Amino acid sequence: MLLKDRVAIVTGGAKGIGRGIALKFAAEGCHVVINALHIEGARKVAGEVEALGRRSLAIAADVSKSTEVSTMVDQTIERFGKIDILVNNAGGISLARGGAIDNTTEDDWDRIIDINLKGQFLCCRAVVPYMKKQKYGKIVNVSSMGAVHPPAPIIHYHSAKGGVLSLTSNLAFELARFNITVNCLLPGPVRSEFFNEMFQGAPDKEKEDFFERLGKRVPMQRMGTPEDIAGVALFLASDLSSYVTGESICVGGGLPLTPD
Amino acid sequence: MSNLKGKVAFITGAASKRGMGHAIALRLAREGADVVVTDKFAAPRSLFPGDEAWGGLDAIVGEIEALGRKALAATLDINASREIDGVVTRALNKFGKIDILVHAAAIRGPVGVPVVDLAEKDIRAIIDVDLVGSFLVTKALARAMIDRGEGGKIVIICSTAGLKGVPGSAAYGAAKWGTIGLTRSLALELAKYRINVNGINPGMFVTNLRDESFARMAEAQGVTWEEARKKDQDALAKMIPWGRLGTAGEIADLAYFLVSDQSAYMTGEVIVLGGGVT
Repeated sequence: MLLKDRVAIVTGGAKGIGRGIALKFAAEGCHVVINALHIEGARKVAGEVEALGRRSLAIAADVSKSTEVSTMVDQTIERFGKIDILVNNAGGISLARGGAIDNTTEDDWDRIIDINLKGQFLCCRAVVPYMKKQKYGKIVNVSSMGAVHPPAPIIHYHSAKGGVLSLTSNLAFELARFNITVNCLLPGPVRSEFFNEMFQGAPDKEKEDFFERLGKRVPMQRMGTPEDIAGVALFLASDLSSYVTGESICVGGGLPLTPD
Repeated sequence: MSNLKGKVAFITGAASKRGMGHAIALRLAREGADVVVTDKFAAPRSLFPGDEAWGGLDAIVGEIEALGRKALAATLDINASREIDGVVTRALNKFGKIDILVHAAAIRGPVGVPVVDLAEKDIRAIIDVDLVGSFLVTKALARAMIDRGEGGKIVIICSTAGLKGVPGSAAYGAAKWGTIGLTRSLALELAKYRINVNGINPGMFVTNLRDESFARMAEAQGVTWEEARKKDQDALAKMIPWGRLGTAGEIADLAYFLVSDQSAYMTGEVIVLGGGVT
């Protein structure tokens, strides 16, 4: 097992990619703290982690609020005594007004940047002292293919995810001497709850047709799965990547390369 | 993590004692793969003290078999497509298939020689081995994977020299830029066959690649080979955020990930492995 007795915090761990990562880590021997905005979802995944024979803890926290992040890290230390791995997966998007600049309010911008970029900064800042002390740590930040190859204009979300790339390379440089690796992955289109808002109230077939069309735009001719993303997160969280730091890895079935 | 039991891997540039290809061959065997090990030279010389009796490909076959896996060794000039086809045929005759290619073979060429002074024969030799050879090897192995119809995994060892200018080693740098282009193009061509193609850009590593350079430095400085190597590598380590050069085992770990099921949705990626060097 690649993560035997490691302790990880997975933010946004209640569904989709976060849940996939949490379960993959647990299968490799890791104890996993599941963070989500709402406790019910986090508890459900924590139960799935425990069913795999690992310890878990569900914590409701808004990663964009430093006091809530501090409490989450304190609770983790209290329960497990250490933090080996942080997966900054929590994120969010609102397309109520679309993503074009003309329709993006200052409040929209602030909120989306807070959730997707500031949240990762706050979580890193909170765990780094513990990682430095133990001279070991693995930080995995989740960005998005939209940061380098936007499939549609969503200015606040893609800008935040672009910021995650710089956060990663800057922090990797700063923490290298403490034996802490910091890397980033950029998922391409993934079948997950991420698209729920777009299809609220729409028939299932409409969503499936959309997924099929989207999959055909990928060189590998399919959409990704949370499991696909979790495989790369596992590599970056394990000692297989002990000399990899500051890297941003696209996991998009060949995207952002385009055949045309 | 998935193991590689039942898989067959084909490695080029595998015979150097301290080389990436050797470490990768053993890593994949340890994970369960049977391995075809190839190199232009059956037993390349290693100048590291203590390596004088290195047995090359034959020794590696012994190491793989000691891990309980099967092995096939062949000398292979990656500039000769007929020779490549012959070795691929031998591998297919022995194992019935090839699931994985890790292409590590390369030469470094002159170091510290500006383009205006670089001999045409050196330019051609480096481009021929490092770039044309990469085409010929991946072409032959991709064809075998396509014909079988069961997908596959290709990993090309590129270099961080393919990300920037390399004064004094322009031909090497240009060839490695080319291998990154090859990796990305092949990834797009082979995606429909479920063949993942990814690359590794190693930063600075402790291998045999620069053995001859250290010999020249040692002579010029009037010190031993090991002293010259250590002095050079201590200086390089100061430029690396991680504070040290990489090891062949670390390349092997990344190669293992790239040929495993965990990277199923990754293709066309070229990962820098450099301890923070970009």
